[in-house]
Amino acid sequence: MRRTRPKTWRPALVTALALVVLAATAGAAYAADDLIYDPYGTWNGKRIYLSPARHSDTGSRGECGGASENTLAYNVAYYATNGSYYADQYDPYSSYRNLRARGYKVRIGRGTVSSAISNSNAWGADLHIPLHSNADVSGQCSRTTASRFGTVVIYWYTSGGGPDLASDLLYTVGTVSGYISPGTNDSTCSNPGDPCTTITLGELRYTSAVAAYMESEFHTWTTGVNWLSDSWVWAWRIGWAVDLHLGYPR
Amino acid sequence: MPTPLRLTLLLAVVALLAAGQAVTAQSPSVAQSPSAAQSPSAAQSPSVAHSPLAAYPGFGHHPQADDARFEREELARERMIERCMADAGFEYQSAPSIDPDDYPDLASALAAAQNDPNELYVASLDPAERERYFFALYGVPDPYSENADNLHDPASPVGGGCTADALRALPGVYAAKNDLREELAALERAVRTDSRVLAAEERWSACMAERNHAYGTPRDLHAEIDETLARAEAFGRPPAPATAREHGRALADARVCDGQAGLRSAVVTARIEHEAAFVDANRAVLDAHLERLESEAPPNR
Repeated sequence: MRRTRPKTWRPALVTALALVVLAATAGAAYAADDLIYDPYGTWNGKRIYLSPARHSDTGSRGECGGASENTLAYNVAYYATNGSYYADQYDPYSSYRNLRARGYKVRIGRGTVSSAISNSNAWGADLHIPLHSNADVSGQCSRTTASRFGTVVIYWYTSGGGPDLASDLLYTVGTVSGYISPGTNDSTCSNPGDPCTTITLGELRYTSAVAAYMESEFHTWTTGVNWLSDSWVWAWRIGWAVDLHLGYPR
Repeated sequence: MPTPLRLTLLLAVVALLAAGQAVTAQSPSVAQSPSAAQSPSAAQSPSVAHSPLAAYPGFGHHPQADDARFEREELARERMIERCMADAGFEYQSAPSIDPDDYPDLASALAAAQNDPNELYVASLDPAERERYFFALYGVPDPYSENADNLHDPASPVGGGCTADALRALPGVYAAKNDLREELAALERAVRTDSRVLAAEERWSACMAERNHAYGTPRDLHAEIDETLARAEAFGRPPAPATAREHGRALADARVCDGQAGLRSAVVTARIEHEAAFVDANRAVLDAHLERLESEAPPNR
């Protein structure tokens, strides 16, 4: 079954979400300190750099419902790292769960694109994953044609591991079963060259780690924003993709 | 002036640095010699600490020492940036990464992260000053640009502002890891496809089959658990209790079979051997890395 929104919500989540939004908003405009999280248990030896969007015009990028791409992306990073909820079940130590429960060290970038690149390299990240959402036109939030939207994951054209990481992320977030991104036009693409983006992406070009740049769904249709806002439900899938790519190091 | 929370963080870092004085990069003389991995006791109970790669910091064999060194380096780089920015006529306060787990709760961690003095300072600048500030800090007027053409190339020997200057002055404990990415990826593939590892996986799979589990490798088991979770998510509830119990039983049996098949031991033995070949093939880069780390003054002074 595809794209069914989970029915249950947990009241305590409201508080946690408010704190996450607060942090994301605070860090939206200018550089802030990165956050480094250790795994709950034994470290598996791998470092994951999550680099949420930090557009200076966030909130004015066609986001539906007054959303902010930066905040949505930061929440994805936060829940991929720390999320403990699955369908109203709280189990922070479950092997099913977030990146920390899977044994990874995680660094969440909260500065500029420049600082994300330098910090990821200096930290010796094994994987570097920029987190964004896509946009087409503004002011048409009521659209419902799923085939116009979807998740795109972009890799550097000469990267050895980038295409596989991009495929793994696309599989877990965009195409496998469960609460995946609601658009159906999902793909991976190479940068530069492929038409998915017209620029050369700095975070793919200049990072030492294997990298994949996620455009998780479009924030220019309400269905997409609703899904992005529910990242506490689905962000564990980023950890799943990381595990698939790295072979479940334990 | 530092805020109280930032001051607390700095004090914590200073304490860490003091404690870290004894945790320096491990020299080859301290590390186990390669022959130790071939001794009977090591063969029975191999450890990657016996790998010759363990002599080189930054490759994960001494994670606590690597982390401690990284923290000292990061703070040292931040202080270099602070001085460099002051020379350029701007205020900048050292802003190393923070560990939210060092705070009593999430709210206080986020409050600390919110009170970044650099953020407040940049916000106070007019647009032209802000461009000059970013140019001094990163060598580009808009460090938020996604476009590589508008960003500094970290491989360049010049440019990149105070941040790149600090990284060039103190490349750090993970610099060689970055220089040898492709070789490390080949090393990982070699371990994964080593005949001893594949044979141990076959034994593991047979052991699991005797316990009524059909998995080729431990990866297959973990992947099936994730797949099950994804399928269950569509219905807004956890996997069925019987499925969860079955997975719990499989995970427990997997640990038993790991021991019986000697899987982890085979992986470690193969890793030591392939890491020895990696060291032989890349000794010049690794020795230069070690020499640089050893020659650097304690980075926090």
